[in-house]
This record gives sequence, structure tokens and C-alpha cells, in this order.
Amino acid sequence: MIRDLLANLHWSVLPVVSMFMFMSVFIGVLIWVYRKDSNIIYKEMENFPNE
Amino acid sequence: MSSVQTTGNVEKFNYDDGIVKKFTLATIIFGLVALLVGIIIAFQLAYYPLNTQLPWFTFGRLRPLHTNAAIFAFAGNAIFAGMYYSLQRLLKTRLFSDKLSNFHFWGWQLIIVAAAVTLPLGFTQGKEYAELEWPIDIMIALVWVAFGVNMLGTIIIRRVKHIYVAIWFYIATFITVAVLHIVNSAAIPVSMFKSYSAYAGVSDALVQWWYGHNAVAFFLTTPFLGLMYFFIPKSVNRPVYSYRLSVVHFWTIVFLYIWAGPHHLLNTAVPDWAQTTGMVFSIMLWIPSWGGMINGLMTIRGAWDKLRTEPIVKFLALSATFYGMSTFEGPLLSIKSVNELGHYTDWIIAHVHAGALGWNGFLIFGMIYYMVPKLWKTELYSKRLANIHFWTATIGILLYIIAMYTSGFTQGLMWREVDAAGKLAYPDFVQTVVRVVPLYWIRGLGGVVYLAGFIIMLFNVVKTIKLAPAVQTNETEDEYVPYVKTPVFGNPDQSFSHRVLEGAPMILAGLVVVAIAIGSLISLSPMWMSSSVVEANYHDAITKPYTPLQLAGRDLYLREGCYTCHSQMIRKTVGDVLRFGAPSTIEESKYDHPFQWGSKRIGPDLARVGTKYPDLWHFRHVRNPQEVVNGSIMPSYSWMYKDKIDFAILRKKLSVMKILGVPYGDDDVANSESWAREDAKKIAAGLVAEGAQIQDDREILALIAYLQRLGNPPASIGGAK
Repeated sequence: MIRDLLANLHWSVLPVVSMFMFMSVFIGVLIWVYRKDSNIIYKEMENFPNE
Repeated sequence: MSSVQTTGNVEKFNYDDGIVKKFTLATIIFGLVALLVGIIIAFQLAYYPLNTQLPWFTFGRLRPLHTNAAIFAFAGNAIFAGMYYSLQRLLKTRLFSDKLSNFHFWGWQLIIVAAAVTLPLGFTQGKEYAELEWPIDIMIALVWVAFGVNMLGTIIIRRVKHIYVAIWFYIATFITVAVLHIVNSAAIPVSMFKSYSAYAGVSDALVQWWYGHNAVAFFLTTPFLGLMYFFIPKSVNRPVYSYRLSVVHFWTIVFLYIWAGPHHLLNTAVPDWAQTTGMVFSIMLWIPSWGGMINGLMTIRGAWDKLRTEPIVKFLALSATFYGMSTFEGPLLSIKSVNELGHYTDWIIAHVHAGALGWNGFLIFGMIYYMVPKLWKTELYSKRLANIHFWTATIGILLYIIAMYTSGFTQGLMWREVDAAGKLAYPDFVQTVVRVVPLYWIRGLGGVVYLAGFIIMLFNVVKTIKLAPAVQTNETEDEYVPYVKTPVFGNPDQSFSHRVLEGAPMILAGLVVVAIAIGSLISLSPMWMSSSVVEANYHDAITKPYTPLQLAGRDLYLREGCYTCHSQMIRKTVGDVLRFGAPSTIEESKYDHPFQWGSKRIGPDLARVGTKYPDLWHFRHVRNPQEVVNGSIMPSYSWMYKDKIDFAILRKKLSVMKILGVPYGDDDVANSESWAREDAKKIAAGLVAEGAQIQDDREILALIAYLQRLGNPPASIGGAK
């Protein structure tokens, strides 16, 4: 039964699901980097290699 | 030696520069080797007699040596040099363990030497960029773990609270490369230098290109992005343009890249939805790639004048520019219709070399010019020579890629051009080969010019080291006030969210694992259903295992690196079908451990070459290709007419195949040697009857048996009993 199921599955919806997953990660990270107080840490880190 | 002195809150310590020096020198030495081998094989394509009659000097055996040397020896050593240099300075601590550092260095060089010896001798798994045989694969895993422990240990003993974004890229590199290498290298040994991949056919194709694509992503991209985020700000003494953008860049690239492997298998027998997923994610890669490129270039803002005077800045700026170009072109090539034109052609070679020579090469050169004077505590011998190197290398790359773009477009267009009657305008494949040979000369010239620049750098580095003070220490002192270590959770004095995600390495590493696992599981999922699909949709009679002699021939095909020039995958495109026959289906390679779909057509596709020509044609063609195909650039494999087939090992080979699921019976395994001898005698007798001179135990007979089987129901040639 599992073999039949796998053989006949059409996973064409996966690219769309995957795209939504990516958009969630992308938007999530965008929100994350603009969180409160992050500016202090990021300003400090921008200069870090030059210390 | 590691030593720490404390004065109040300030700690004095030293960095281990000795290990960075070693990796830097190894980078230069192996860069020279990789380029030299690249130039040799470039001219072998332009002028086939350069293949000589030496088995170990043919294109098929040297090409894997070139790619492995360029990726793992040149770029690999450079990554470790840059990482160990920047890691210590960003974390304000010495490396975790001097012993691990040295084990890492010498282990990696041993792997490189082992590769340099075994690949020309024909010991190969036949999987692109993963050719090395199982003992070397185990060595790679051990050394990689040592590197990872050393890096993570250094991160844990750091004096700085926040982990700078470059190190995030290093962590992602370590984790993902480890996963890719272990999964893709899974194989069962037959002997000390022979193994069969655990995967077959479409499963192997998916795993291999999941690995192959992400070797580019996580060996040639993420570590270099980390290095870019360190060396560009350093070289222009400016802060990173946007740290926020670098965080977005990191997470999106780690999440996205792993999905894109199937774009190497467009228009093939891989399920359409998997191809579409690969294509969609490849196109989305434009977002993080260009975000990173813009961030790198914009870091130079306010210091653009240094582009005129500072060769380091020139190299780094052009490196980021090549990164932008390559990562624009990659997604473009992942669009199915564009890929139809570009796949298997020299367009891909141009794309790859714009990335390798431009992005990786220039970043390495910038890094070397930056680090060498600091490591040896002196000044660069000649800025003028470094500038000459920059322009020489730039001209070399341009010659190379323009020749290869032209060749690629020419091949792609000629392969599919049809006349008014709907027939192929260039029906003989060799017509398209002859047309691009002049461009192979220009490509070779481009390589020579690039190498000339490299030799200038070598001279400059040697002179710089000679300028250094006679008494050298392999250490640099620094001092820092270490941060107060507090628990990750439950500490009200610091930003919880920041500490958890951006300051805690193990949690960050865990999130990287989750990010790559999601994409890997989905993009590899067709492999779990492939056998069910084959059984449900195809007549099983067509899928018979190779006879022992055919299997022996297949192993010779792998040994000689035939896959570096010939594909075995007829795509579902008009041009391919008109030229080579019906599209390849997944059941045809069901028992192929490893798959041999290939990625390049310097010669024609061989998926349906079986019975297209008589045995005598192959007999003459492999010995002297030009005698049969006028204008061919294929080398002669004359030793296959002298060397004997190893019949004795066939029993072991069939046993291993049986373990891997190939349906050989016990009798098949037990009688494999006599069965193969019998088949070889039949082929030899046929050839002798037609006037050829051959003894009935020579390697060429096995190769002919294999080639005649390709694309044909095995019953027609006395397949599996």
C-alpha cells in the first residue's frame, strides 16, 4: 500500500509550499533583525573586524 | 605556545600564526599545481595528442585531479588559512588546540597527496567532485571533525560575547560539508581501492547533485562569504555596510542553497516537481546572493579611492563583483528553457570558472596579500607586482570565460538546430566539436595568462618572506577584557533574544542543522519513492542487472573517467531526442552504482549507443578514434588492448552489488568469473572473424560489452541469465 501511495503521489504542490516556507523564514529574519535594542549590538559588530 | 597573562581585567594572550602560515604556503603550492593541471587538460582538448599514450596522463584521469586540486587543495587550504587567521582575531583568543591544528594541517595535506596519487592511477568512485575512494573519504571525515572540534572549541573559549557573522558562515560550512560528505560518500568496499556507491540511478543522481551543488554552496561560497565579511572591512578599514543585511544574508542563504541541487538535473528523468522545486529555489537565491554582494561592495563606500592604489582592495572588490555575476548567472541557468541551451555545454565551464577564478581566486589573492606581510611581520615586497598580478589575472579570466561562453553558445545552438525538413542541421556530433576547438586554444591561453599572474604572486610572496626579520615568532600578541560568562537562559541582565540566537554557538549550530535538514529531506525525497515508481510504471523485463563482463567494462569506463566527456542521459528536449533517441527513463539506470548521467558533452551522449555500431567499430574507435571519426578529439586507450581483465575480482563485485540490492542470484555470483570469460570469448571470436587481432581476456572486450549494453534490453545481447 505504501509503495502504491509513493508511486502515485504527485508532489507538485511542494514547490509552492517550499516557497511559503522560505518567505516565512525571510520575513521572520527581517522582523528579527529589527527587534528592539538590536541596533546597539549591530552598530558595535559592524566595526568588529577593525578593532 | 599558548600563554595568558592577566593584569586586572585585561588578559594578554597570543594568536597561533604558525598554523596560518602553513595553510597559506600550502594554498600557494597547491594553487600552482591545480592551475598547471588545468592548463594541461585545457590543451589536451585543443590538441588531443597531448594525452600521450600514458594511461595516467589522459584527460579523463587528470580532469578529476584538476577539480579536486582546485577545490579541496587550493580553495580548501585557503579557507583554513583565512578561517584560522580571522577566527582568533574575531574571538580574541588563541585556537583551541595546537595539536588539533597540526593534525588538521598534516591530515589535509596527506589527503591531497593521496588524491594526487590515486586519481591518475584510475582509482575513482566515478562521482564528480567526490571521486576519492573510501579510505580517503574516511580520512576526510576524520580530519574534518578535527577541524570542527578545533573551531567550535575556539568559539567556546572566546573572550568576545557576540559571535561575528563571519563565524556563523564558518559554522554552517563545517556542519553542512560534514553532512554532505558522509551521506554522499556512503559506499560498500570491494577492495582497498574499489567501492560501489550505496545509491543507484536516480537516487544517486539526486544525492550526488545535492552534494555537488552544495559543495559549491558550502565549500566555495559560505566560507568565502565569511572571509569576505572579515577581509573587506579590514582592508578598507571601514565597518560592514549593514550588519542587519549580513544576518538576513546568512539565514536566507543557509536555508535556500540546500534546495537547489536538482537544477543540475533539469529536463532529465528526475520527477518534474523535483526539478521545478530546484528551479524555484535557485531563482530565489538571487535574493541572498545579491544581498551579500551588495553588502561586500558597499563596505568599500568612502574608500573607493583605494581601488586605484591598493591591490588588495582591487582583488577583493573584483572578487565580490564576480560573486555577483556568477550568482546572477546560476539562477538564470536554472530556468528550464535556459538550461536546455546551456546544460552539457562549455557555458557551464565558463560559469564555473568565473566563480572559481574570479570569486574564489581573487578573494584568496587579496587575502594572501593582506596576511603574508602581517604573518611574517614585514611589508609587501612590491605593490607594483601585485598590481601587475591583478591585471594579468583579470585578462586571463576574461580570455578564458569569453572563449568558453562563445563555445557554449555555439555548442548549444548547433546541437539543436534543425533544417526546414525538421532534421538536425548538424547530425554528426563531431561537426560541433571541430567548430569549438579554436576556442579551446584561447581558453588554454587564458589559463596560461592567469597562471603567469599567479607566478608573479609567488615571486612577490617569496621576496616578502625574505624581507622579514631573521628571528621570527609564529605568534602575535593581543590583549582584551573578556566578557563575563553568564547562563544563556534566565539572566535578566542581558538581552535574552540576542544571547540565545546570536551569541550561543551551539543553538546557532542547531538552527543551521534544522535549516539544511528541511531542504535536504524535501529535495532528496524522490529517492525514497523511485523504486516504487519504477516497479509501478515500467516493464521489469527491461531492468536487468549487468552481466559480470559488462560490469567489468563499466568499471573500466569509470576508471578512465569517460563520464567527464560523455553523458548517459537523453533529455526530454527535441534536440536530444532527434540526435540520440528516446529520452532516458529512470528504470534504465536502476542498478547503476554509481549513476553515470554525466554533466558534460565534449563527446556525444552514450545512453543509447548500444548496438548502434558493430563491435569492430568500437574496437577500432577506442584504439584510434580519429581512424573512425574524422576530427575527433578523443584520446587513444591503447593500453586496454594489452591489459587483462581482472576476472578474479568479479565474484566479490557481484556480491557487493547483491548486498546493494541488485538482483543477482547465488549462482550468478558463484559463476561470475566463468560467465565473464565465456562472454569475452564470444566477443573476441566475433572480432577475430572480422579480421581484428585480440586475445580473449583483454580489457577492451569488457568495455565493448558494456557499451553495447547501453540503452538496450539486455536480452538482445545475452544479458543477465
